[in-house]
Amino acid sequence: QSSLLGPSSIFGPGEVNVLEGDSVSITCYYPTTSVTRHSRKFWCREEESGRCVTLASTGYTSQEYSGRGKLTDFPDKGEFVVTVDQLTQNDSGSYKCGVGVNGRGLDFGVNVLVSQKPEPDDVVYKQYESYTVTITCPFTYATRQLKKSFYKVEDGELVLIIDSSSKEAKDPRYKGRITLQIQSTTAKEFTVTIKHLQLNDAGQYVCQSGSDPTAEEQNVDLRLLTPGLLYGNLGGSVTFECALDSEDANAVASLRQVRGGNVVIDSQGTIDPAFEGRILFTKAENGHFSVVIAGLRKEDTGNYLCGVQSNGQSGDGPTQLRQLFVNEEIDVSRSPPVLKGFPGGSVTIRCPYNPKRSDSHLQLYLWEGSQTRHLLVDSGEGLVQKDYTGRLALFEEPGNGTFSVVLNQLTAEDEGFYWCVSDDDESLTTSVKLQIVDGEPSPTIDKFTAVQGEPVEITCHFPCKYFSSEKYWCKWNDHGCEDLPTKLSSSGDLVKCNNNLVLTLTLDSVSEDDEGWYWCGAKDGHEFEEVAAVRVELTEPAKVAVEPAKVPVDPAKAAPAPAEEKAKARCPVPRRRQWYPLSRKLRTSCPEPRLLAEEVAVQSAEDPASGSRASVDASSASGQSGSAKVLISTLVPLGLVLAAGAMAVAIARARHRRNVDRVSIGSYRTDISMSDLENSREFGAIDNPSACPDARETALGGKDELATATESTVEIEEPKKAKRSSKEEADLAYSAFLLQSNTIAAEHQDGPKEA
Amino acid sequence: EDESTVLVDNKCQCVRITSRIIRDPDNPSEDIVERNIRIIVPLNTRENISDPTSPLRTEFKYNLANLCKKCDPTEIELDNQVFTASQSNICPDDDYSETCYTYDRNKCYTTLVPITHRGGTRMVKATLTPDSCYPD
Repeated sequence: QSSLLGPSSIFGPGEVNVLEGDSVSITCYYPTTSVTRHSRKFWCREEESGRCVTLASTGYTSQEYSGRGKLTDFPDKGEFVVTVDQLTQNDSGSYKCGVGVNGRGLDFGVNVLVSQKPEPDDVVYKQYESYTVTITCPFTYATRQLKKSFYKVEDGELVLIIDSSSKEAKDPRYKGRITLQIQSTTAKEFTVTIKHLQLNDAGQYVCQSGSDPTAEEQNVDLRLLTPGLLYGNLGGSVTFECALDSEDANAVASLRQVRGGNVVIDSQGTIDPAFEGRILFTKAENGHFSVVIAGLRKEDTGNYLCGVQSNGQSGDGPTQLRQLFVNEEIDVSRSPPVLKGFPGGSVTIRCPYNPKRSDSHLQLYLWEGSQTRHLLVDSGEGLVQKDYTGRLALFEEPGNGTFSVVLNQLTAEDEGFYWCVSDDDESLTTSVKLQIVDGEPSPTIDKFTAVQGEPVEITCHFPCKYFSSEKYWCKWNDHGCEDLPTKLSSSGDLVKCNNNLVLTLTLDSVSEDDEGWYWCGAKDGHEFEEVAAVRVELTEPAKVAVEPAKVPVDPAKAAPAPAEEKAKARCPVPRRRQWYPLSRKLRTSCPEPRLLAEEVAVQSAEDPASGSRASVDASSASGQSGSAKVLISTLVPLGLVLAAGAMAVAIARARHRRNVDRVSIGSYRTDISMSDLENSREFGAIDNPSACPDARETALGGKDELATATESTVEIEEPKKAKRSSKEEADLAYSAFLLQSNTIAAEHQDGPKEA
Repeated sequence: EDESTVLVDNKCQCVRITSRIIRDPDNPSEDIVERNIRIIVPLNTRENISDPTSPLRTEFKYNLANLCKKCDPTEIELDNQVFTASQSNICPDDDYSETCYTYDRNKCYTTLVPITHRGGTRMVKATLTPDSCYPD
């Protein structure tokens, strides 16, 4: 049924092999979305009828598990653990761990096999599922000529699996994947190799040489290992911790992908190109090492092998299997994987951040090969690498767990991979590739001269695409960039838009305190757009050095362009705007410069912070204004041409990308299943029907914050519990409960009908 | 299974459409596109899922042409600039909302219920999907 419901975001161990009498602890992982963290978690056993009967769930333990099994949820980690003690062979079977109501697809199948405890003199072999195991069976000279057989112990009886009389397995379950070999006529042992191990292969075996009265026997115990599990979110990261005992200090440690067998990374610096820039190898001692993969992709899901191989050693050294699952439901990345910047321009890298404690930091690293990354800036300590002075700053976006990193004055050397690390939550490590491409940076800062003690005006030009953005000047420091609003207003808040937008910074009286880097940039809401930087430096008392930081600005371009046509040509469609139908698109075309100036003046007078709304306001104003009509008539053809061109490109691209869908529709197959999603009573909503026929075992709210509604009277009689949460929440829970009890009552009345 | 492409995964109407390229069983020299449409019909759902007092839904309409529209904005890159674009040119207005036959797990659904307390009746907001309604 899971395949019918599509992929699940729940992950756990697929096969678990344990010994009778032992305990087992099974961890299942789920996405840490709000609803999933608060949802019921369950562990159920699949019956032959197809139902999955709950054995344990959030706040509930079945009679069968009473005293020996429980489910513990760790919502902050996004995992829950089922532990069962005193296992018997009756516990073998198919189980599911999941979230929500049983049978809705949010679950993961776990097969459990409880094998018999081995005898003390049994030889134990351990291997992972789907791998190969080679079992060595000794014999003596006396039975050297006699038949060699390999049995499995099942229910106390020996079942012949293979013998030396034929090459084929005698047991159909092992057909094609088992061989029995005697290396040479002088050998003292024979080997049995089983390939593609399955869970049910685990158990006791007997090697036999000769036949019954004089047979030589060796008991063998085969156990299946459970691989280490890793759960990551799209764009986020996971850490492979590999601990392989190796005394050889020169041994090569590596992580391989099982599919394809390629080396992902190793201690000699090899990196799979698919992982370039988003993987890091850290070596500890004695075969212990860890590998971080950041910027997880869908295709990273799969099996990996940690391995250590001594130099000159042939064959494989010790290995450990890891299973990685990349959940596609949550994408933690805030930036596209590749960012492009112009020489002299700027980029903004947006980093996810989870402030669990007040002293948690966000750090930006530059990746420099398989084992090194350099810390550039830390939100707590400020700038670390002094050669980034004046051109790198961190800004925390309020409330949405994101930091913006702005890097300007780009050069070709800045190309590379940048890692965002949230030091409290290593799963949030992301990797962004920066590419420098040809283009003209914006905004641009005019040259200026100033004398100490006298005011200086520094002007910054924005193209019209930043019309609706908030524009600012700020003074850079180690910990960010301090806005300079007072300086702006004292100079009359000079926001003009002639052919482009000009923002002027006035320093009233230049002194040594004013030395440093100044940034001029644009912001759309909290999103930083491009930034230009300039350094004000006092070299001698009389003059202030003029040193625009940017690639030399062509004076012709920096100077106001006289022709209106040119202004229009420089007004592209604003970035990150929705593509509207043609008629609407016109609104976002560049407004008339004269009008703009007026609008901005009005805007800034009314509400300086409402920059992002300016474009809509301006366009609606232009609709009313008579002079704007003339402008629109000239802009319509231009807008049409622009839009048509852009759309043609978009369509061509979309076609190219989507051509698979357009090939042909060969055949349809439609699955329509009728499911009673409302009626959850059948599948686990009641886990203890005999005791309390109509009570739902699932808590209405999280049991931590809100009182549970296991029984109606409990809820009403225990209002004290609600003290812990806010009054609103209590109200909410209470009304929810009332509603729920209504439904229950209704269902109860419907009961006979359903039966 | 892994080779298939998800074309539509409509959580609102519980429709999932995937396609994959397979060898044509009738003509082994050609590949064809196989399209799988899965519809889960939530019986016992109300006509207005946010109003538990509305009548039971008896009619479930699935308009494949509408379902297959790709109206959610996608970022595309043109000339080193990123734009947000819709992949369809017949997308409804923003205020249009599709009829949902089931709850979206990530959304909180509430309704008003009357509560009589000390002789007075007042309407109280109640959640229909408690797990989805936590403020964190």
